[in-house]
Formats: sequence, structure tokens, C-alpha cells
Amino acid sequence: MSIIRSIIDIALRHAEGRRVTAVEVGVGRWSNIEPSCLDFYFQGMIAETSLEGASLRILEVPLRAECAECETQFEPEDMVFYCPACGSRLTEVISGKELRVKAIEVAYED
Amino acid sequence: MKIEIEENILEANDTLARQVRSTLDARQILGVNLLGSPGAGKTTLIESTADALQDRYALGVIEGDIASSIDMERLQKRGLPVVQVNTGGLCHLDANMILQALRPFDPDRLDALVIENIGNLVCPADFDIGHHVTVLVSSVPEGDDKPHKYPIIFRSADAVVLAKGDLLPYIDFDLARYRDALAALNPDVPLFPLSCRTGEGMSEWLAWFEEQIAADRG
Repeated sequence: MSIIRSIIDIALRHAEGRRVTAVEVGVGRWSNIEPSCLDFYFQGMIAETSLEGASLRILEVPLRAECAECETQFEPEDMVFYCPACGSRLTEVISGKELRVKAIEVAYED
Repeated sequence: MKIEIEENILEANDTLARQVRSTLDARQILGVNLLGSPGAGKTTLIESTADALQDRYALGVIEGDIASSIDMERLQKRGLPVVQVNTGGLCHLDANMILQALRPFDPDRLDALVIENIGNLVCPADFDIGHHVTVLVSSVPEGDDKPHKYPIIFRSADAVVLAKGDLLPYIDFDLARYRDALAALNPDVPLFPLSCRTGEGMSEWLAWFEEQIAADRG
């Protein structure tokens, strides 16, 4: 709920009073956010606000990690974070955690 | 008309979390985010840790619960400074709650602030609350499959405490399987199997905790 509240706040701030028709968000696979739930609650929370009628477009960002030693980038499979190239244990998640409002679409004014 | 934004949804929280961290840093107070499922033994671990370190370090506690002040009362009996935060249904603590909860503490008298998060292995992993280290309390009765089922939170931990270790002989808990799953997710994370009831394994955990306080003072 607090995440959706933030999405709405960011969208309204950038809309500067214009009517918002769509909100595009990037949701990392390595965040604890389930896209279908996000959409369901978003629609519920924008009812009777100036975002009413806006659609939510969710772009899922895959989980990617990078080896700190050989810099190989990989998508961890089965939750194993060892580097597939050199076997190093030192790896960093480089994408997949993010929750971002990427863009909004606003209606042209008459 | 499309307007590009690229703004972090959690930026408002992250800004407040940086404020919490700088407040703690200014007083050289170690901030600990204590995570774990309901009933894992988070409060008991705080009690045992505070008892063992009471002659050397001053601990303060922020108790996060959806409702009630049961945990705060438990800890106050031990003479610990405690602030209770009730989230009223919200499944995690956020940085704004911690910023408010910091006010009653006398910062000159604290070495570490332990923030007991809401019992939950999901949402608390997404919110920075201005802490320095994350400690995950997992317990033997919860089963050895928890790292497989909640990978994000196990990956986020700086240390994992496996509590209620005295129950290992009575429960089908495969410690090797648990260790392997944890090592694949978070290769160098220290694991402390222990029992607050018998005291077994406590010394290794306490040594790690003291090292964190020392490192925070740099």
C-alpha cells in the first residue's frame, strides 16, 4: 500500500494538474512486489482521485548479478549466486531490486 | 504525451533512512535491523544479548509490532530503554517511523540500537530503515527450507541466527541442507546456530555482535 501511495504521489507531482492516462513502472523480479497485486490495488486506490481511469503498465526487470572478481554478468538460477564463470562467491545483484516510476502519459489539453 | 520520469518509488523512504543513519553515525550508535518470522525468537535474542553485554554496552530497542506493547513490557523489565512502534496492520517498519521513534532515546547513552522489525519474511526486506547491519533470526521449528522459500530476505542478511537450536534433536531439521541453501544465496554470511534457553552457541553470536559495534566506531 505504501508503495502504491508513492507511485500515485510521484505521478501526480509530475502531471502538474494534467490528466494522467497511464503510469509506467519498472518492477524488479528481486523485489517483493507481485505485479498482478500491484495493478489490482493501484486500480482500487486511484478510484475517485485525479488519476482515475489511468492504466498501470508494469515492466518486469530481471534479476541480474555481476561477479566482483571476473565481472561476468549472469542471471542467478535456482537462487544460486556463485559466479558461473569463475565460481567466485563475491557477487553483487546489479538489477532486479528496483521499483521505479519510469514514465507517465498525460492527456493533451483542449 | 509521454513524460519520462525514472524516479525511485522508495526515494521518500530512502531519504529518511539516510537521515536516521546519519543521526546514528553522529553518535557512533550501531543500528541493527532485526528480522524474522513471528515467533522466531527475536525478542528472546534481544533479551539474552542485552543480559550478556550489559556490563560493557548500552543497548536501546525499538519494538515494531502490528499491535500491543507486550514486547516492550518484556524488555522494560530488564531495564532497557524501549520505544514501541505499532504499525496498525502495516507489515513492515519504514524509515519515517524510526525517525520519530528515535526522539525519546538519550543518544549519549547508547552503543547499539536494535530495531525489531514486524515478524514477516517478505516486506521488511524492501525497506531501508537507516540501519547498519541486518540480522535475520530463523528458528529450528520453522523448518530447514526457509532460505529456499524466502531468498530475498536471506540474501539481504549480514548475519543469520538459527534460534531454538536445543530443539534440533526433536525436529526433522537438516542443518546441512539449510547451510547449503544459505551458502548458495549469500555465500559468506555468518550463521549462528544457538539456543537462548541453554546458552549454547551464544558466545560466537555475541563476539560477532561486539565486532559490529567496534567496527561502527571505526
